[in-house]
Amino acid sequence: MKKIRFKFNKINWKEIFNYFVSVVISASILALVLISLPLTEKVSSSASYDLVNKNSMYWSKEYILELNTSQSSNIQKDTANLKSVLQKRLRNFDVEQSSITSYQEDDKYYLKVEIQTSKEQELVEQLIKNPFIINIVTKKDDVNYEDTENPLIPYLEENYNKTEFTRKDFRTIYITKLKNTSGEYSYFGIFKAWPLSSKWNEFLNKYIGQTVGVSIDGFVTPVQINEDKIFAPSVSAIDEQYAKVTSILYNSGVSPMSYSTIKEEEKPLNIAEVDYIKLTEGILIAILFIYVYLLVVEKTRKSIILKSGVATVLTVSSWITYLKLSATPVDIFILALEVIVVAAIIRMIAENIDSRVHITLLLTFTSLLCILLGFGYVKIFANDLLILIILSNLSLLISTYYISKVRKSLKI
Amino acid sequence: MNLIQNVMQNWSKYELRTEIFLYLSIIAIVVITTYLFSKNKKISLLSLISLCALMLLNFLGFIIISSLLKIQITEVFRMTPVISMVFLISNLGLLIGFYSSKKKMKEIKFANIRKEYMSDSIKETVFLILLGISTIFFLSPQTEIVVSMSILISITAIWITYWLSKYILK
Repeated sequence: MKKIRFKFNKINWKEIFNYFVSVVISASILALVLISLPLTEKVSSSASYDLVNKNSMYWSKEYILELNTSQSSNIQKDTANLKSVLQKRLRNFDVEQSSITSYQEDDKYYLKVEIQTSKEQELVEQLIKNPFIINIVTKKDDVNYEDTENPLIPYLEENYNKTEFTRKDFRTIYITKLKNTSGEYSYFGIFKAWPLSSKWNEFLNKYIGQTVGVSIDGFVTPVQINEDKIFAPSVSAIDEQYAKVTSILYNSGVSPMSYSTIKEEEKPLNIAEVDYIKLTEGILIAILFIYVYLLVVEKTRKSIILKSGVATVLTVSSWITYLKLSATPVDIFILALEVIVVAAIIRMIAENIDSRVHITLLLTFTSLLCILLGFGYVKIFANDLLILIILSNLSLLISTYYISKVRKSLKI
Repeated sequence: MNLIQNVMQNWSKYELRTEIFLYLSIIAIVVITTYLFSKNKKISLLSLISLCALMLLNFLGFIIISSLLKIQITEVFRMTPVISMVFLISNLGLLIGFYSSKKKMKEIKFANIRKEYMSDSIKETVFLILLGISTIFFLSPQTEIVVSMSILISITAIWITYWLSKYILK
């Protein structure tokens, strides 16, 4: 009997794998592009996502602060310092736009604070409206702090003796959660004195076991000084955001004078309005137009144009997809600037492989410095740019790999 | 002085200090990194001068926008120095990258490096102009001013750098 023999051609697993990888990358790019396009979420009812436009979260207000200059020896200098303190508070809280102007009317001095931000209004107002002038106070002998008929006595500054200690005597005030007397965790501000501050140590030693107080704008928080000599008044913060605001109020400089808010008025928003749908279409057309032009003029190798084109589409679409899926609130005009900048960066690093590391590192350092030292829109932009630099390098690697695999698969 | 006050209107000392410190830090870190990559003082000097020129151009841009075109300098305009710096730093990165690769091959001829740098600068200029023109119809007027200003300043700074390279990179 004749044996039947099946003859298999040798299977090229490598080719199959390359083909499979090309298909997966093509599908991923297509999915990213589709998700990043505007209104594509309407195609499917199973997922609900769209770019969260920050514009609806913005509010704008103007505050007039009347300055109490009675104790000031140099009004101009103190006003300038107060402007800096307020601006530092607002910047530390990442308020997007703020402007402070000083002016004088009928021998009275005023500050006009203009705000436009997406941050919570109540928290921003705490930063503006509180002078946060701190004094350490001690109990008066002739005051009954346990008077049940007048429960406000322990909280009013007039019932205490002022000491020489103010905010300037402390290096920092660290806001943290500690166990309170009822055994639960709540926020406290630990006052950290300057090193070698013997006067403060003497003060603490003198009042061990007694109750003193911290007066903030005339309102006193009693503090019991224990054996461990940690001076930590309680902080009325209900959550992390409030604790952050309190920390900023404590640690953004010392108000040189007190003030009161005499007027506050809502203002119309002044936002760089960009239509997200129009913008996406526009940017796609712009990138397409540029790459077609570069192909036509034939000044750059086609492989480089293709590589940087694919990398740009991949970077931009994956970034917008991330923003959509994570529901991150976005300033659309910043997104537009980011896309323009990243398209230019990819074009440069795609063509000059020798310079890729140099450009990437230089831009990474620049972004890091802007994140650390910048504020407002610059900080937001730098934060995103840092991610986009990493993303664009990854996209370039993927697009190089992808194009070579597709070429092999299609035998081009 | 009035022009400067116009641009700096309402700025607190804190803002002025932090803004100056930010840009000085960026310039310092770019110059140091340039030197570490190239080990060439001339290229570091060129980077320093071109970044200073860029800051000066930005300042002039703000004066023109504020005083001549009567456009209010809002917070959005603070993006211009950063964006133009990103474009110029990328351009300097091209020069350093090319210099470093030639240095490895021990083929350092500044004339060749300048020639390559010019070619890269032309390509970058063309790309930036195309990018600026093609996005002009889709952005809000304020954003478009920021983009146009950043691109114009970057291109001017890039060509100032190239012009200076003739004298510094000999």
